[in-house]
Amino acid sequence: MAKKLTRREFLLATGISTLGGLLAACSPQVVKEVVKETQLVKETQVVKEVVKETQVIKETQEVEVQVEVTKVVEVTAAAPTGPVNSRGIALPADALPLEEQVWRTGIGGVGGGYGHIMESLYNRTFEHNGGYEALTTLNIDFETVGNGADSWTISEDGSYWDFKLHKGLTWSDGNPVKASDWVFTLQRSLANSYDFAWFYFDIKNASKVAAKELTPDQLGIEAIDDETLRIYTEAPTPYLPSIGTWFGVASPAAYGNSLGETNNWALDPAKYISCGPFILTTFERGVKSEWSANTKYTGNRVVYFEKIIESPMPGGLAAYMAGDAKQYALDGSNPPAETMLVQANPVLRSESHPQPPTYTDYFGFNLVQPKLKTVDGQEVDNPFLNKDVRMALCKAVDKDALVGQIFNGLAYPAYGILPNGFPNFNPDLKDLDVNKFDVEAAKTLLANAGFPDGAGFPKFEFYLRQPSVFQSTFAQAIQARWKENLGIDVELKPADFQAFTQAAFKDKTAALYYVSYSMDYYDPATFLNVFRASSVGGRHPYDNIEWTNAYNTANGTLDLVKRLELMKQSEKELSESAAWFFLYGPFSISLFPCNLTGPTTQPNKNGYQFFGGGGVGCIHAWEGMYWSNSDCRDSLR
Amino acid sequence: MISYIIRRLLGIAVTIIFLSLGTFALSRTVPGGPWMKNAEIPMSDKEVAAFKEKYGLDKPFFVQYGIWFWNAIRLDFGRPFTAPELTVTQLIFKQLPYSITIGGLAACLAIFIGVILGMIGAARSNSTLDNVIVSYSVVVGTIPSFVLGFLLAYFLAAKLHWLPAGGWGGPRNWVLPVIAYGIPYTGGVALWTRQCLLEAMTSDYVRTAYAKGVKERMVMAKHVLRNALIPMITSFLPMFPGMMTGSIFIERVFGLPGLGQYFVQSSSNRDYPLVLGITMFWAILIALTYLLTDILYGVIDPRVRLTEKRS
Repeated sequence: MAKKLTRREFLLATGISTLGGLLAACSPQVVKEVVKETQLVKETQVVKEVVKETQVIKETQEVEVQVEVTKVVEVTAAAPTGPVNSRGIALPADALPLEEQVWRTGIGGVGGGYGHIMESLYNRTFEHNGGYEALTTLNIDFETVGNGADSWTISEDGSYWDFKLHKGLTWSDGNPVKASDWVFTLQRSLANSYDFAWFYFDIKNASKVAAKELTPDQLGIEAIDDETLRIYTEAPTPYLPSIGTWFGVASPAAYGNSLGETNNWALDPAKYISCGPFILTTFERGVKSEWSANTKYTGNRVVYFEKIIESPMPGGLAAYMAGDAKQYALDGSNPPAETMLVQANPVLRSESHPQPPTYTDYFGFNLVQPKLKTVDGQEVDNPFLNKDVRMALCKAVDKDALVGQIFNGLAYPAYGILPNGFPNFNPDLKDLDVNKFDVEAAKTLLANAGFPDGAGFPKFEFYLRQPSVFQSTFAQAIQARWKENLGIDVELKPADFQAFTQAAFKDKTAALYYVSYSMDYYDPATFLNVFRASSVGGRHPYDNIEWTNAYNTANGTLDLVKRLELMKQSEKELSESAAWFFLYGPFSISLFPCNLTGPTTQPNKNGYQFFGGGGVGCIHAWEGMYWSNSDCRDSLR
Repeated sequence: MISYIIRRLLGIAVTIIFLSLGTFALSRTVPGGPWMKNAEIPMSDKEVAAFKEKYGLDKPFFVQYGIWFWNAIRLDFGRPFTAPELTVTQLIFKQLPYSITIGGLAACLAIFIGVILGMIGAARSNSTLDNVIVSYSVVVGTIPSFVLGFLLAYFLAAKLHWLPAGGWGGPRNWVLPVIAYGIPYTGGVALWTRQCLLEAMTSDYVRTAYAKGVKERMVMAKHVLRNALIPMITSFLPMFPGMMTGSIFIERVFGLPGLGQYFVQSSSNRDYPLVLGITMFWAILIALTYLLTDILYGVIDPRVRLTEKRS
């Protein structure tokens, strides 16, 4: 029979329990666990002199050992931590519970495309790299840092790069990620009509393998050992590590070790093999993809989220305000009412973060065809081969004023191809003659070319590539300026992406074209490379071999300071050629909820709070961010 | 009736064959190709040749069409370039339930509200209430569904938090898209219903019925509604396949899965198998709907059956 507790005994027991609880909370927690520890055995510094610049490369030899240690983790009231996620990462104290650490995002154009990024880029893959590691990635300051590789060095003659791969990276099937896996991945992609193949054409023999002129094993990539990947380049390529942000590794086992056709493993949760922080657990085309935490993840990314759910997301600011969409972007194409709504609401205003411009819009002239077709189908001599004509058309456009009128402050006028703030951006290009709006000078130039007041100037189609609202508006403004200032008529021809590319860049029959180019990686080469001569793989209808040779020399210069100086000169010549006229670099205001926090949402060294939606070219798979218990959005409800 | 249906089905089959040939030719004639989707740098000729070989696009036109046709009559429309893990048929039937749910409910809503408004308008012809209904019908018919969608999402989801702004969840998620999709159609339905009823109400046989002393309720049910149903059915029934195969605007605004986006994307992606498959699916659905409409027409109107027998 149980003894009945007296009131005095109950109070005593309660007091002792409370005191005991307090003492236990304040005392260190002793946790015994087996950890993998990396012991630093030897560290040397090698000073390598390259021309005038001294590069200090820290070489670290590491030995991995398994030791059993007793870890004493002191938990104090001053530095509490939140829940520990399935990858063993402790979330900050203000984090919401793990079941709420879910990132919901849009599913992308074709609901997953071909699955893995090295299967297809343009038939979109999943819009994040949760299931694989790329060779490199960017930090919030847009610096290229290690991901699949920890460090890299270029050979003295610049003919190859060696990448030291991240130690201990494993596939979810338990196998280690080896250098040979990276070799297999690139060989398989290029041998199988990869639509982003051109991006890798700096790699030796890549274009020939893609064209099936050479076999995959002749591609300039090899595994020196399990942890060293060597990539040979056609010419010195100082920016190769930047290209690595797109190069994601795939497991050869997932392909049955075959370089042949895809077996769609990356769309099948049962077959998915991941080395990234997530693994595919549900896939319904166009409806939903779920990515759960890869508990075997051994990479260097600090990812707090437990799950990513991709599904069609409602559009519009209203869905973001309602909390049904987790991100929203405002740019020049949004209705002004949305911008006003954001500005008027203190919560939305605090959640607005200007993003750096990443692309430039421009128009260009056809400089490869001696004859061009007019809108009536007549063949006429190409007037754009005369630089005076091109200069006249450029100088007749008051882009500074137009940018101000059309974009409501969400774009910078462009004077070169590199966007404002991009590495090697050159503000002095504004002073080039081609960039100076001067109607009288334009008229004189046109008259000198034999078309006084536009008399006798043929009427051409002006191709626009799948124009957005503001691109259409801008093109109409250009059309009006040419008519008013020079008496030249053009007919705007909006075309879908494919029809435009066929006419302007493949057949090269379009007389005039209006297009944009966006960065792929954080180096000036990302923009300037595509302006190389059409005969050597450049995209534009201009066979500027002389410029290309000079640019290639600049681009391949291993002295980084000298390289940037030379590239600045190349960009200047590009603008001066008036083969293109650079118009503006738009930027967006990214909105993300104020209770989404973490180190990667903080301002970077340039003050940008970057949020690119987790895609490539920014922080991947939403690492370094989590949902906090902040009530900062309560007034929106 | 059976021979009529068989003849109609044969006619549909011939139409579909010609349509498939036309669509096949047009899809190959449009500039670009699946190898050029969003490509900032177009593939070289050799790369394009490799791509075409991989997907069998290097064969002569009629050989390609012949292969496609032979497979299509066995209901194999190939695999979409952009969704290689599924066949075209699988993709369509996986997406269709979402579109049918939203589109079907929206069509029902449009017909339900529209018919009621049309009946009220006809019954109170030329009254203030009728003018209000006509004005509503004209105004609402000019509002694009995506504009209405954004307005509904702003007021009912963002401001009042009564309903979610979208996404595919339970019936609560369907309310706004169904309203945004259905309401603009109510105007047309109301005006057409009103017109059909007014025509029937002013017919000789209605006047005769009244003259014979038939009660108003009986006249409306037996003579007016039954006769007005004939043009209404021919107009409203084809609304269903149109709305149930999805709307890219509604899907985008409310973040819904469905077929609508594939109608647009398959074309811009130059996804030839999907373009062909969706076009054929759409054409067959429309043709069968019109066949059903004609059959129903005969059920409602005995004169159609008589004509059929005589012929």
